[in-house]
Amino acid sequence: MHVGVQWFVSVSAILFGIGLYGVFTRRSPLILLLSVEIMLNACNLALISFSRYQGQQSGQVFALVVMAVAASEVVVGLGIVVAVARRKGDLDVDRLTGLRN
Amino acid sequence: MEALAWICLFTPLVGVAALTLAGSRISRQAAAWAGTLFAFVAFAAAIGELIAMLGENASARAHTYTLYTWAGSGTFRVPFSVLVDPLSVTEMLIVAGVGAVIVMYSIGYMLGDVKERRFFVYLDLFLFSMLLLVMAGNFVLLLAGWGLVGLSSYLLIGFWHERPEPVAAAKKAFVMNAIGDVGIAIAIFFMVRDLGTTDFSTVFSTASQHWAKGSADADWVAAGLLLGALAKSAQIPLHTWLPDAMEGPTPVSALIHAATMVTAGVYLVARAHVLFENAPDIQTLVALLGLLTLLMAGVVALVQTDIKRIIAYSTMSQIGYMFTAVGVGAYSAGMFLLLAHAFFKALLFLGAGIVIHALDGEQDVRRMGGLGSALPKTKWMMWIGTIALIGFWPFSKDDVLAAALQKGGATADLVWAGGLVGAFFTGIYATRLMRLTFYGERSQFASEHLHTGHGEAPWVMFWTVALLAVGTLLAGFLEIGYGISNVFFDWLARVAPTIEPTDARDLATTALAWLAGGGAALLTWRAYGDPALLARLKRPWGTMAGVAEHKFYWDELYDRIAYLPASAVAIAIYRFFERWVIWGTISLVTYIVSMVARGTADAQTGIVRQYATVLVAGAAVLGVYFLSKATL
Repeated sequence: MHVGVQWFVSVSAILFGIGLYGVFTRRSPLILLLSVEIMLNACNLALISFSRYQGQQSGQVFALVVMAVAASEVVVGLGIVVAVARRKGDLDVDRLTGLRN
Repeated sequence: MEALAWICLFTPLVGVAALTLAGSRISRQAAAWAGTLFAFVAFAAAIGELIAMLGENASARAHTYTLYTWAGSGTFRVPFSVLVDPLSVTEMLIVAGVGAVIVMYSIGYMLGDVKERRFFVYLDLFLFSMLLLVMAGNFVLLLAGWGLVGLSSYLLIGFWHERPEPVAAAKKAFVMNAIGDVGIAIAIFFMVRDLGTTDFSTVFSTASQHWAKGSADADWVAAGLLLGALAKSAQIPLHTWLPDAMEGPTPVSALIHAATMVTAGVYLVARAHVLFENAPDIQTLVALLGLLTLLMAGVVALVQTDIKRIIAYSTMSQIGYMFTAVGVGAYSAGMFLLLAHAFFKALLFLGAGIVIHALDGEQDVRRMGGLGSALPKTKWMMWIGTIALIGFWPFSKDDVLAAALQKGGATADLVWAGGLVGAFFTGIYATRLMRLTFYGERSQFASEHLHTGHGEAPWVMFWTVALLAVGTLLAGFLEIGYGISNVFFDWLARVAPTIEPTDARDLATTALAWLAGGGAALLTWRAYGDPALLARLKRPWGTMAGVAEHKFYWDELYDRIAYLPASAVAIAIYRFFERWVIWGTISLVTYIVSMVARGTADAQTGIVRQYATVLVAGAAVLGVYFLSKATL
């Protein structure tokens, strides 16, 4: 059975929407990071589907780069989350406004 | 001999490297003796070169040795080459010989100075630079040596940089010499443009084909070289740095500012005399500026009170004689005066150094007096130098004047007459110096400060001065004339010819010069023993003495025409451009930036989800925009 590219893109869009919803509604930075990861992987899915659809490899390369970036981002992000948790004991992004003007 | 030439040139440079690297790992005394040793090796190599050359035919005495191509562009090449011919060998012997003796003297003079090692590094650096200057086989290399001696001179004048005066004097010397360097560079540009080479032999043999005699180009080339010579040799109008340079240690004054570096201008004119003869107007200018300098410096020397400055003005005056010599075309006569002067002026300076050393650094002749009984040997050696300076024994000054008389013509006759007047001044100031320092009643200051516990001076100082005294006396035998001895002029005949005067003219000139110098000396001697006579002699010259004490207002003139306008312009630029334009622009930019920043800073709420909203909204707007443009 042949599955068209529109299915993959639809799944990708749904995943992206879920991630975006998470970013907007949740207050814990951990969940925020997870939501961002979901969005990134939604993008990866779209990239790889189009890559296959077009018969070109560049999309796969992009996906690999995105994975590397995501991994680094998680490392830094989790590090910050742990540091903030130790220092403040409170993990609500709406109250973590120490970098405002 | 090629090897000897390179040994002579590079030994002092090896000395610089060795002493610098050794640093404080060797004792000060060891550094001083090592520095001296390197200088003596260079001297030995120069002697070897002389011996090798004496064994050759007169026509074969010019060798160019090339090490490698130093610089090149297109077909233009500057080889690192030295020219060894009688003229450069003469200079090598003077530089390395007198240099080595003075470096040795410094062992005693600088004893105990905290920067002793550095001093000897600088001295060796100077010897290398000066040897490079006199041995260079092309003008570019000559200019390199020319610049390096300027650097060494700067470093050594400002050696005692804890005091402000030496630093100012060093800067003054450097700036004045930079003006001269530009002149030589301009001359080199002409050579590169028209001849395509700067090698001495090619330049001199082809110059007249490219530059017609007396043409503007020929004048430019000679004038450029002359500017360099004037600056280096402290001739009017670029002479004001030399008296100030006396702030340096006395061995430096003797080596650089009397015996070798300041006479480089004479060497340059003698070396490039083909180019000067190709521009007769400029060569006349050489003679006239030399004449002007010798008279002016002679007058100023009459009223100076600092022992080193008296000798400095005397140096300026003697170099004036050398310039008149090369200006009228008597090149080897000029070189002979250069040789004799190197000996007797170094002798006088080092003798003065012993006096200064014995008096705890005092240099004012008015506070000396009566030192003859305490420093008898120094006194007698300085008399040898004085006799040479007045022009009695090495027949050097009268050779110059006799050659001028022989040449004839308005300029040469003027040089002859002016030179005799100059000899009169020389007699006065030379005798005055000796009289005030060594004779008369010992001043209060001198009695209190004199310390000669270990003899007159450390032995290295004493014996080196004695060597120079012997050298002065012996140098005279090289060139007596009258068919007795003509060694020096024959030796230089091919590279730097002279004008041989007839015996009658020679004899008459010598007699007149002796009369002028000797008469002045006797008069001065008597006047300083008889205050009434001295006052009577001085009375008519009050105004003149005032002018002379101000050194003919040259420093004031340069202040007015160069320093004051420059500082006025600088202050004006500061007041208007710097304060309003530059600071105004900076203030305006910072004001705008801070205002904009204040306006946008409120967007930084620190709430992450707000940022995310803005981000998504922005992405959505962009998405809608691009979708609306897309043709699906």
